[in-house]
Amino acid sequence: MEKRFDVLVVGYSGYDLAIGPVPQNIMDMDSGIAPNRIITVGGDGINAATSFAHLGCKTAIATVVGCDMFAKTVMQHFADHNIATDYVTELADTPTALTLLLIGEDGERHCLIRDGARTKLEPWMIPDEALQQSRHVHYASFYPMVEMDKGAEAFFRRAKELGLSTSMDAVTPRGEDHMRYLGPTLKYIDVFMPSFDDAVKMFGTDDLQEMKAKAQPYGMKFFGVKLGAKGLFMTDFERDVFVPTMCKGTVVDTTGAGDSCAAGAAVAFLKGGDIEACAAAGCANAAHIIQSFGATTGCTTYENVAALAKEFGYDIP
Amino acid sequence: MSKQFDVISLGAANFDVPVTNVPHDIMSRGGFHVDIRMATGGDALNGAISMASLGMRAALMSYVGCDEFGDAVLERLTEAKVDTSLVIRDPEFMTTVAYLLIEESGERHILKHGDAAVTRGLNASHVTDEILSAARHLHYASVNSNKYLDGEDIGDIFARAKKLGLTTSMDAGYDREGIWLPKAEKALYNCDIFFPSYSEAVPIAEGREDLHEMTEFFRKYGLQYFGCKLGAEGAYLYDYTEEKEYRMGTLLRGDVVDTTGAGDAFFAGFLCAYLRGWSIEDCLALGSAQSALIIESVGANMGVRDLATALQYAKDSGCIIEGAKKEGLI
Repeated sequence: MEKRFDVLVVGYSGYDLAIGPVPQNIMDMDSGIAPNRIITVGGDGINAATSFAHLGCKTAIATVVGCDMFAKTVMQHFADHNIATDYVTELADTPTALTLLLIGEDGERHCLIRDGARTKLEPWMIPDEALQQSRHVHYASFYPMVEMDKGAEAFFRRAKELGLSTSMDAVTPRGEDHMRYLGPTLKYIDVFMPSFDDAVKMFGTDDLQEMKAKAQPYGMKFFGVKLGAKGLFMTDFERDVFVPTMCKGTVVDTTGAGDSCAAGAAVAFLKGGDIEACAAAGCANAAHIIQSFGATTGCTTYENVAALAKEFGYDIP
Repeated sequence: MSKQFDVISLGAANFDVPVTNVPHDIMSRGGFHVDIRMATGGDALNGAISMASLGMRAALMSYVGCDEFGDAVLERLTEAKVDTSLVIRDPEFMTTVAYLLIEESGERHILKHGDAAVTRGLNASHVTDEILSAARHLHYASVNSNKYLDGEDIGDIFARAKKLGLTTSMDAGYDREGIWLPKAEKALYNCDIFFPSYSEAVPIAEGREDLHEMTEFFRKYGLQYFGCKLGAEGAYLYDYTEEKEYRMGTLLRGDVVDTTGAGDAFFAGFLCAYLRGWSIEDCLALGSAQSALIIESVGANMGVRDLATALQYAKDSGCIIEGAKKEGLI
């Protein structure tokens, strides 16, 4: 039976408000002016879901927003990008996640972060029907959503019972026992792709082969480490690949690069791609994102991603 | 003939974003977790909301963008029963947003979008005779803050307002350009009530710090009343017709929570009593009571209460508003 969705994305959604240039000594002034303002939606969940949708996947998102003006902008973004909102929970007593980005005169970003609904997703908010109707589930941000993390093992076990393929990204680990909830979940994850700095904290080493050795017992099929400007390392524990960054133009904004890399790799996996194809698709997708301002304005089609990967000598399915 | 509005409040309508717990060295850090709230603000908006809460038929004349912040401003005004038919929405501009970066110590640093809607968009051509004719009174909430209204333009608007039979009043904002008097002067000749805060009155009076010297300075403009809001010390007013001075102490009984919008609320209370024909003492008392209610709450206009509450507040602070008593309101 055909599923309603190719991908169910589980993650957080928020609103980013970037203003600048902000006087460097604003905190010593009574008042100052920042002439420019750019509003974007943000959050691992939105970023990944938007990528998946542009890459041709029928996409739904499970996330939490408040009942405020920022939630309206987030919901409009979902509508504009054909992301199904059946599993969006709107909380009346919690504001939508909001980040105020103060862009300094030197271009550096300084973020004032209000978590709000960002951390409030819980397993009971995602009905079993959401998994039943999906081919693949992507968990965009392990660690910020504490209650969801606690229920992640059971959630992904159920996903596997229903025959879904699975992928996961993570942000910076918090607290001491990083693997307490992540560890038991990983045996139900097909593709796990943290960034290098986060992987160092998770596995306690900055050596990729040691990371690979420590990750393998957890049972994932593909393990990737995003290396920023150096590209992507991926392994299926039999073969390792390094794929370089595929950015040919100017790097405008790296926000969302990791989310789009994970999404690109997951789409290739869903199409039956091997380790090299998944890594290439991830790098090609991220390359499009970082050449535009904002985490989602550079989202592109799967055909464009395949074409770019081809330029670098990689075939993707 | 009955007018559609008691007051048109002319000036700024903002969206305020108070951010608390901001570290002093934020511009050296990557990120920090804070509390961010949303509120509306702006002198004319605050005043209009206060006036409507006191039972006046108040309209706001301002300028916002066609963005979510403009939507939020309109929603707040509608919720507060302020007429929004004179609020202009222009897709070319951004609604003014003021980020209040508040440190743990309470120290505030205001970061605003430059070149925003109200300072670029609103000008004299918007304030037509037809619009003025719909009101009993015109209140300009913030001379010195609106590039295309200050100076000759607001002078022209006030002159037309007087010819059409309106009474007029004006408050003042901080002049970032340091020009001061020339921006306000033309309007002063057709202004009935000029009631700035002391910190703005001094530079507008060309550096005069003594209230009596200021009073004599402003005499030549033909004002009915010159007043000065003195913060925690209350208010000073001079009646040029009666040649009489008035002083009003603060009626605040509770803690100072947030003084944002206190001046706008004071003016609203004052005008409410003025347009009801109550005495100057009553005008000052109602202004002080309305201001105190704002100061006891967070935000520039969330503390507004209805007329009965403001009258009771004044009474509980030892001040019976006689005009209200005669009308059976207390």
